[in-house]
Amino acid sequence: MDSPQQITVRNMHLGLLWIASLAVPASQRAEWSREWRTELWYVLRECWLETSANPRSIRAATEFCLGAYQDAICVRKLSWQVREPRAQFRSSAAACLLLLIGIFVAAWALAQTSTRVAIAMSKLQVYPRQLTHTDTAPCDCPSDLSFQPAAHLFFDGFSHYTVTQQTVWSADMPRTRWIVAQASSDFFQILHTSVRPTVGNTRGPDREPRVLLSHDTWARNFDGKPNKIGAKLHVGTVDAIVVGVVPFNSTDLPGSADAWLLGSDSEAETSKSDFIVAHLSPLGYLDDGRWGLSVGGILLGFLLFPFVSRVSIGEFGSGLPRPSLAKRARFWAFLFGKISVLVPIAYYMSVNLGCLLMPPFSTSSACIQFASSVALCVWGLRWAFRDQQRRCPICLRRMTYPVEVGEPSRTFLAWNGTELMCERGHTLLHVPEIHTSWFGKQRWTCLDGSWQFLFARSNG
Amino acid sequence: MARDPRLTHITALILQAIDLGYIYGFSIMEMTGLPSGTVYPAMRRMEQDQLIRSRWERQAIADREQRPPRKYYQLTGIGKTALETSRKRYPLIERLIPTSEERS
Repeated sequence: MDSPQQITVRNMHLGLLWIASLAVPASQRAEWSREWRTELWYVLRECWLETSANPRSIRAATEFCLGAYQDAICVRKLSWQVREPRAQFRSSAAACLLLLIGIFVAAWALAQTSTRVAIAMSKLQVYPRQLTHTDTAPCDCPSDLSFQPAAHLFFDGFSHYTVTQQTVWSADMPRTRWIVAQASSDFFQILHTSVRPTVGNTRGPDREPRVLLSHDTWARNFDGKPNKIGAKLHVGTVDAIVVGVVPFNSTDLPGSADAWLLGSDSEAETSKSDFIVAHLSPLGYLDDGRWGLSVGGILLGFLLFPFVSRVSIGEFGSGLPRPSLAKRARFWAFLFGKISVLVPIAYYMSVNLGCLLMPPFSTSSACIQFASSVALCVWGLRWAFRDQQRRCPICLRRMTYPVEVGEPSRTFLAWNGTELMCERGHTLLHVPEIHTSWFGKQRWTCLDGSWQFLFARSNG
Repeated sequence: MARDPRLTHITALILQAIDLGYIYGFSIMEMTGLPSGTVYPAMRRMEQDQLIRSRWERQAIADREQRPPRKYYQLTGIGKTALETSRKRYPLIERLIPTSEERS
């Protein structure tokens, strides 16, 4: 039976071990804590056996527990060494390409959303729009209409409707005056609206006029009874079937009407159209020539790049061994691979910026898209070349361990610059601090096999 | 991946202690006179270098003796080779730690 003093001492030391365990990686913490708690049990037993817990023995137990902190840090460091292959992967060419592909996918996905946002914002400007020639013949070909703010847009469907006051009655409803919106039968399909009737649907028997009631009308005249779906209703001179009820407070339909009468096409054509509804194509934003802005900007970026950045990659020391032709081909293929992913990134990112920063379809939006495509292209090319300049031509890994060599004041007497090393011991890279006539470009030195013993661990 | 083991004095001492039968952390501390903050981290590195391996004592044995199970360490093949090398490099090591017979 432990005395209160023993329990206090043990708990105090267990607390010390618990704090130390926080430094241990979570995956190893349970095992580590178990070992130290077990060992503490034996240490304390030795303490109690020797004497009845004098300060000296308690201090020995405390010193033992303090050693756990060094051990915990050691375990943490060793776990980092185990993760070293992950760090090596981060500096590899595959990781670089994967990162670029990830950015490309993100930019592409964002472009899908941003162009839809642009379409949605513009749709609000388009409908309902009163026709300028409603007194003339019904419009069979809506493309000849003039939409001033959105004349250049790409539509994938048109429909029309007219609002009139009609007398409506049925077998169990007296004659009532309703505001009826009479539309063509494909009205809801063209509108791509998300209206889901509370009861019923927007479809009905073919070639038979259909009525969609507003929620208020349904509640006021039919007491909200669902069995009215399918009932026959006389709307003016037309006999129609009730097919559904528009949800309460629905904002997806233009105008406000007590009922929507969806007639057959022939009837719609003979009716007098007051309003027209046009649906912008989801692809309209880019199909409308917007893609040309980005492509043109990217081409301009390629033309500008040699004037704003150094295109040179580097050279190999004269008289020293060079990488094989296959290695050098792989080195250049990696550069072109990066550029080929960067181009679509610049394209989609410029589309995103044009859509999201300025009102879509505006002149400022077009300017943003064009300017950003040029800037992104130049920046991307600059990054691709700079990244290539810091990669080993043999293993394509990032050069590491930069060391500054020489003194700037002795530049013209001795070499002055930065030296980097391939972590696998393939090459050394000499980057001059000041470009001189005898050392203008950065220079690689391929290391022969005699250096390999220094990098045995990395190669293993 | 096993690294090339570094045969320091501490490594050699711990290898010698384990070889002589001091097979858990606290006993190695007692025999070598090294503090816990030195012994346990050294044993972690040695285990990673595959010089030693560990195993937990069976719970039934510990329960019978009314104590918690201990974590035991033993030399691997690489560890035995390293111990032989260390004995050549540090001949006095064998005299620093008494064997079980000498101790009794």
